[in-house]
Amino acid sequence: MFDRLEKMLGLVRADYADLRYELARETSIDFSGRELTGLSASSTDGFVWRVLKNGGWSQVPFTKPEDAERAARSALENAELLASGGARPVRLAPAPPIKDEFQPKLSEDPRPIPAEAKLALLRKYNDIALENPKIATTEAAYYEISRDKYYVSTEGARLREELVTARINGEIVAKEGSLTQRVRFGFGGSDGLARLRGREAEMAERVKICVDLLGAEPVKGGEYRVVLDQSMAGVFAHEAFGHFSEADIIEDSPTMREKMCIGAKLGSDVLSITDDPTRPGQLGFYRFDDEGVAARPVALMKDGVLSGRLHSRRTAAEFGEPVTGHCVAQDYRFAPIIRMGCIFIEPRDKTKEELLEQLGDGLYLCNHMGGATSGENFTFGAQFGFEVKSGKPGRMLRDINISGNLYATMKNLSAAGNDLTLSEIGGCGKYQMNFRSCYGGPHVLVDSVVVGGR
Amino acid sequence: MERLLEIARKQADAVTVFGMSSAADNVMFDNARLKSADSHLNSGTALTVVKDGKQGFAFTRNLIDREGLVRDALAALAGGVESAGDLPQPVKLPQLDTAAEQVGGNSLLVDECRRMTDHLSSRVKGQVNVAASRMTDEQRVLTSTGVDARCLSTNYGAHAAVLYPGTHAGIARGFSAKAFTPFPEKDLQFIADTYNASGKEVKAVSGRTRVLFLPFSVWALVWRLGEATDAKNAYEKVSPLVGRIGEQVLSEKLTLKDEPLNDSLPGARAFDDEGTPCRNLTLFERGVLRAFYNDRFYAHKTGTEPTGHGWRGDVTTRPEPSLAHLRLVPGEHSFEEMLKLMGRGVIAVMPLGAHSGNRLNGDYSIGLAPGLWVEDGAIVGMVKDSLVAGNVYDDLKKVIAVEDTAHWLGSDRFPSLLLDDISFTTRT
Repeated sequence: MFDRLEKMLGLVRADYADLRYELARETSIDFSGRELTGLSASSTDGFVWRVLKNGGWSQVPFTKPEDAERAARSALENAELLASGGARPVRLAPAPPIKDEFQPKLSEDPRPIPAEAKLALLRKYNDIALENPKIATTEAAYYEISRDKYYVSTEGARLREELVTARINGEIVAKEGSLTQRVRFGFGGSDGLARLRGREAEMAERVKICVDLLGAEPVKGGEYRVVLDQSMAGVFAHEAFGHFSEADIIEDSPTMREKMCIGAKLGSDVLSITDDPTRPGQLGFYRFDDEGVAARPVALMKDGVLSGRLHSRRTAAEFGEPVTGHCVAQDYRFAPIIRMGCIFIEPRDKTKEELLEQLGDGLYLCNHMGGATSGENFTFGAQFGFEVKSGKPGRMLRDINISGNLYATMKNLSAAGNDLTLSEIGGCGKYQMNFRSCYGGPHVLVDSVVVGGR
Repeated sequence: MERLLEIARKQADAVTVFGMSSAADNVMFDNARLKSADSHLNSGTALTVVKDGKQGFAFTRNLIDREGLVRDALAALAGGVESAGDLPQPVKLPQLDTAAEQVGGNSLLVDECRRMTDHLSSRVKGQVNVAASRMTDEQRVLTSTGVDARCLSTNYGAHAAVLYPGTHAGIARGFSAKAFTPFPEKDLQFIADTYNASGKEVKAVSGRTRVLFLPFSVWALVWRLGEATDAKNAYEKVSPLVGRIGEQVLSEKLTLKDEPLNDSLPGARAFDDEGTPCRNLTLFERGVLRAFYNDRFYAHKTGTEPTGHGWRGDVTTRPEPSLAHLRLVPGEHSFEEMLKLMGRGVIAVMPLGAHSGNRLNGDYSIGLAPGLWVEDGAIVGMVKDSLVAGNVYDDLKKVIAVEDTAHWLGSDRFPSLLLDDISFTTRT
């Protein structure tokens, strides 16, 4: 395959070019309630050109090898248009051209296991939910993708890396009268199928939460002190802060670049945030990114001081900062962009109980329900929460969305727990989906957030 | 695709082949400067086989190994997934006008983006981001019952935004047509005027107030209605609208339709991704629930006729009931009239976190990115750290006015909605 790709690379007359080819095998199984609605295993592939000419930089994904010349021509025309049209000239930060092949260590490789066995595993978890008479339906899915990636560049890089991701996830819907409530569940990772086994007790706990939500009260809107669980803390690290650490998000905003200046004191003394794709055993693990750069851990914030940023080779040159190996594509259909690999708030020393005691009166918010950001403003949902009085969680609450300002919230994060947990299900939707996006944190105390409510 | 069908039908009772190919170009200007010009060439084939009442599915991007694709689909039969009933029969489909000649190269997109950028930059001090794209795509559905439906579509789209300092929140409008068309001046003017009126950050007061939902935020509300009228959710009895056909559910000012046959807009389709003929469907007529939409599987499960709403996100996914051509029928009031009717309240420009909350129950709790505060019928500034929350089945009964224009929103068209008595929370 390398020889074939290098021959294709010879089609391009440019200052720099690289070509990625991926062969993917996907297995998916789906239940809607008791109904098995899908089971399939398919093989597919695709290519992505990236070309630099006269400072113009263009990327063209394509499917068929016979389209390689046409796609290369489009990339060159686009690059020349950018160069002549006033685009800022692109340079690539230096990175050694690596020749290597890497296969992940898997605890129970899912690929040779028959689909019927995966179906039985999924059915077992689905049945735990459906056995409860208050559960009206479920959406339960098994998804596995193995990507065999080949990468060559005109600088001489020649890389192959395999990524194998497997997960079981979905949603449980409880119903009573006209009221429905839903809760998400999910287990998965990039280190083998063994991780998906033996999670029955967690599934039963998710079912209980969903049923309990039928008796929960809608939260009252207002400004609160809150303790966020590890899932909510993780989504804060990813959504509110992490995207601002991606150089491509802020590069064209003079106001954001000014604010996100390395060395600026932006958070409280207890806030340290790291992104580390090389951390073993977590969902976002990879060794080389999709432009051939070795991934490395990046301390993004140390004790409240901004200390690092995530880069592609292009943005590393633009910012005059070192490459980090964070330029990653969803799959064979996409050119790579800057992504977090495994971002988390570093744990400190407090237990959850100590944080609740420090909270006194407020809210304890649990299990994120997705988030969105718009520059410094963010909104996250919580699947459920509890009213806290004198440090003791009481009434269960539902319909919770919080909104805040990144900079104010980083300063208002006044304590962090000792119980770091990383997510097992990704799903960052920055321009393309990243199922391997891992995030986490310990329980944290935030002194002020705005909570929407009726 | 014909060869694939022939190979598969020898080993199955019924076969559907879905093929797509697309070519697209995108140009972006960020902060008033040319940023990127990219293209893609994409294709794929999906195969569904039916045998003994069960179905198997597989896909590939690059159709080289037809036997391998058939093998994958036949292997999937072992799962025992129930088939979607009978395949569609060939019928004469309406001839829709879906494609126009694409002229000019990417330099045309660059020139248009530059024109839009110059126009806005001359009128506002905020960060100007614009983008233009065009796509030619082709879908084909081939079945063993003789359906051979094809659609060639062209689409040109442009988007312009002015961002507030330090944020990605701003005032934006989009536009699409079948081929290159200059971005409407009135939309550029709306962006500039609204931005200039709202630059100052103001403090507002939490409580119940009138809220003017602009089209992007209307989408967050309509999303809940779309989930509730999905035949899948009706079949599973988790939709709050089950058994309520003919009932007044929303304000009589609201009529929501899905119009795949409306070829005055780009993206019209005469058949869905299963080969079922499309038809226009009224979901709510003057607030009365009229219909649920389905694909062939849920039509089969509920014993109803398929409505032609079996869409795939991509060749990698099986068809599911989806709405791809929504239109909320415009009302009688201009945007300026709606501001006057509002008097005092907040404008929900862009929703943040529209996906979270209990959508199936109709609940929403969305951040405002931004919210614009209105006093005496005029915008006085922007509010930060704010949310509006409620339930669509309560709040869409409280419609004061519907805008007289339906705006572009991807494949949908929505006007702005002015609602009364909505819960609004902001930092004090």
